[in-house]
Amino acid sequence: MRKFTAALLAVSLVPFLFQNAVRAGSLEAKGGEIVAQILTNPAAFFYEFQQDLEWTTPLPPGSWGGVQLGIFPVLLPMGYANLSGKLRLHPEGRWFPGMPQVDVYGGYWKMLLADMAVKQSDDITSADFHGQYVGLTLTTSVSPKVRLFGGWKYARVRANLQLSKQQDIFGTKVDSFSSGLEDHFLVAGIEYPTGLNKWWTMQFNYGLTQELISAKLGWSGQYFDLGLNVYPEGVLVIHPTWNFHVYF
Amino acid sequence: MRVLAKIRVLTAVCGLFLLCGASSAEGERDGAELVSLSGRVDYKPVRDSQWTPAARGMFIPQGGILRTGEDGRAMLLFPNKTKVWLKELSTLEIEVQKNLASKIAVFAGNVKVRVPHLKWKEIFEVRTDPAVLAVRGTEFVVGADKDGNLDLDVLYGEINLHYSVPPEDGSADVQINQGVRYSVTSEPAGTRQETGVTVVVDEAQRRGTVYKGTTAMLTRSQEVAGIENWDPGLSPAQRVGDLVAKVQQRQDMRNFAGAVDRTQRVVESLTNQVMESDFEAGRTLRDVHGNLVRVDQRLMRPDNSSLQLINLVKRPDYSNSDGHFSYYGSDVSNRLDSFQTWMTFNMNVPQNISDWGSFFTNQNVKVNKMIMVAANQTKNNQIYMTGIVAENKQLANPNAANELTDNGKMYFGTVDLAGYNAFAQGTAKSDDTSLSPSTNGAVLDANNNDISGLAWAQRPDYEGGWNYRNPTSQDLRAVITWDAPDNIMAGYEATPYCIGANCSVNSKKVWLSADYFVINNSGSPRKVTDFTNSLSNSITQLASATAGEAVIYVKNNVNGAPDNTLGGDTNYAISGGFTNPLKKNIDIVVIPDIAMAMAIKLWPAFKDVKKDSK
Repeated sequence: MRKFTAALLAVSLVPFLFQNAVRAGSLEAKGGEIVAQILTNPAAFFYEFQQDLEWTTPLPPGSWGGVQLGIFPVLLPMGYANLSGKLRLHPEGRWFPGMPQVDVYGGYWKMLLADMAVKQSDDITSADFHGQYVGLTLTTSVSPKVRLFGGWKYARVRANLQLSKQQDIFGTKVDSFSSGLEDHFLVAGIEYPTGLNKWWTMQFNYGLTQELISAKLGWSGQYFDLGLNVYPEGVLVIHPTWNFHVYF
Repeated sequence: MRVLAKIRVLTAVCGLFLLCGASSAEGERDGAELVSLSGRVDYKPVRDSQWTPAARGMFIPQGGILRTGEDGRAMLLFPNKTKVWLKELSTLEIEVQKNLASKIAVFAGNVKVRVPHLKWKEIFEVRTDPAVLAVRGTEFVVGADKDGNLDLDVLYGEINLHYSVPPEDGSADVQINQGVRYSVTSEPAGTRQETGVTVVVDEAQRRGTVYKGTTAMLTRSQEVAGIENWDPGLSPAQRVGDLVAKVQQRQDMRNFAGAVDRTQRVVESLTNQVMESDFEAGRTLRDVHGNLVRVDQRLMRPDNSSLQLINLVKRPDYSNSDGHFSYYGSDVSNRLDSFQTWMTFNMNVPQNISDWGSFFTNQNVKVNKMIMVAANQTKNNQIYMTGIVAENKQLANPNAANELTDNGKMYFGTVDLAGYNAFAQGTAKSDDTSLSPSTNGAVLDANNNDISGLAWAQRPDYEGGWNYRNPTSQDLRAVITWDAPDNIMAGYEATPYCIGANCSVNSKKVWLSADYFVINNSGSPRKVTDFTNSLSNSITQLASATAGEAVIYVKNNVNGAPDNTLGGDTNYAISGGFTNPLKKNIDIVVIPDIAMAMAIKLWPAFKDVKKDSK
């Protein structure tokens, strides 16, 4: 159980870490560096995974709503129980010519792994990792197939961990961190269908206060999204993602 | 009589309203206006009437039919601003034209419909042989023939297609979104379709015919055919003129983006080359005095076993307004201050920064020597500097602890560039006991020549002779210590030293004095609470908006305290004979950017760094 705490931080790192670490020639050094980055700004690290589940793309034409469950890497292996929803307020051009499609969206996650850790481990006094986001997307067609979208997003993360005693994580002593992150983001992107009920999207997110930058490349099908999210300043620069969604 | 008069007035008013109403009704012409046409275009007001040539500007009434010939094109404008274009050999009927309902029937040909918007509860429908299209969007093209085949290209928005008779194996309604072509073909009765397609049997109206619907993405040619200009009277080149222009614009943008990308790659390549060899950072901010400051930091590897951190502080103009130690220097232009640290290890530092973490965790790695020097370098031949040299105790005694110690020595003075370099690069020899008297504090270079203007001094707690103690704190070293009222992160300190370790002579006693500030990029001192509120700012962000400032003096000793009297040469650098006419302090601004980068990179190493117990 002593290693359980380390697993909280390290479980998601290992697959990504291994390749780079082997190249660098030192697993411990790379792990220590990553943990240092996490401990420097824990909320930012957990927010990167929140962005993996954030559903900021527009609803496809003809859908008035949808729900999404982030599977990888948020539900597995990070243990984020999560749900996102999206609702179309206005289809493109319905009220007046040129008025874009208007979608609102939001979502919430909570790290069940942390709650389990508190219950099962004597090393962890308390742990609270959760986050939520809301936003609005405007979408306009530049051609029958290509749509541009942009909008605003507000995101919030809480990451609090209190250990009963110091733990050694990749050579770094950790006994607690209490951190949070909240910011207003600008989101802009492009959507292009590759077939019936298939799209690829590319989008950029920029945090106005924290100056966080991320880029998302996604392939969406009728029920699943595959994505490649890039966080240039993040601990793990590239996140492959896999999400499940249903459109109404 | 009065009653009759009132009745007349009311009658007149009502008549006026009726007249207005009639005139208003006349203003809204029935049907759709034929706003444009070319070639042969015919119409008939009702089905059973004769075809007559259509004319531009005429209104096609409800029940009217319009057709185009082999060379004919036409455009209709409905009262709700809906536009309907007919290509050659097309026929349509305006079945319904009411305030909240418009229905047209396409019998044959190709028709493009653009519905700008729909009012609340307003409908716009297009009927074809196999189905009715309810417009839920803005723009689409209908291609129909007399055999019941239909091609529906949805350019923008959504269409709800409703089959005339519900299909046997599914819903009668099909939603078609933009970017999609939905095709309905008619086939002889008795033919059943493969799985996954819509099959419709219109037994009531079209006995013996089976409809088959398929969905596909619009091809590029279909897309172009739909969005090209359908206005009558245009040549083929004119129809696609706007599209060609847009394609050209996109190509221009691609070329521009390609050029930007190539430039960016070149810049990234250069940046990566620099980052591979060094850490570097820079920032422009204001210091605590309000002076504009440019700070440049670099971490370099001057040799295989050394690291050198250089922090350059450049100010176009310098004035000093804050602090607890008097500054009597006049305002200075083009001021340059520097702070550098030179660390020499007992083994080579890895070339790859990624390996530094494991390097510093290696228990066999020791810091043999560390030199820290702060200097006012505004004039190369009059560099005002203070410095400390710390060496590993094990160099002198292998059995000693693996710790750095400065032995309580401080170096200061006004030197030329050669002298400064000799000290900063560690080639200077410290106290010179060969000179007579040794207590003059002279420092020699590598060739045993006296570095003119540079002196060494000893803290009295190491050498004795000056039994100084802070009356309040009983601290041997500092007369004044950290002071932070209202959580302001600022303070000042003065530490006594004796030149040449000669504490028996008052004139050899000096005070290394400094004001310290933690400031933001505007020069305002930060508060502790700025760092405790982690919700609004991350540590890395705070670091990027935070700097440290140290204003350093070497003061004369007056009655056991730094000489801080007004209007005099209170700095030993001046009164002690060193040449320092304008630069009476060292004012260093240090940004934590490289330190943060290194801390993150080298976190595992830093936790084991041994500190000098002194």
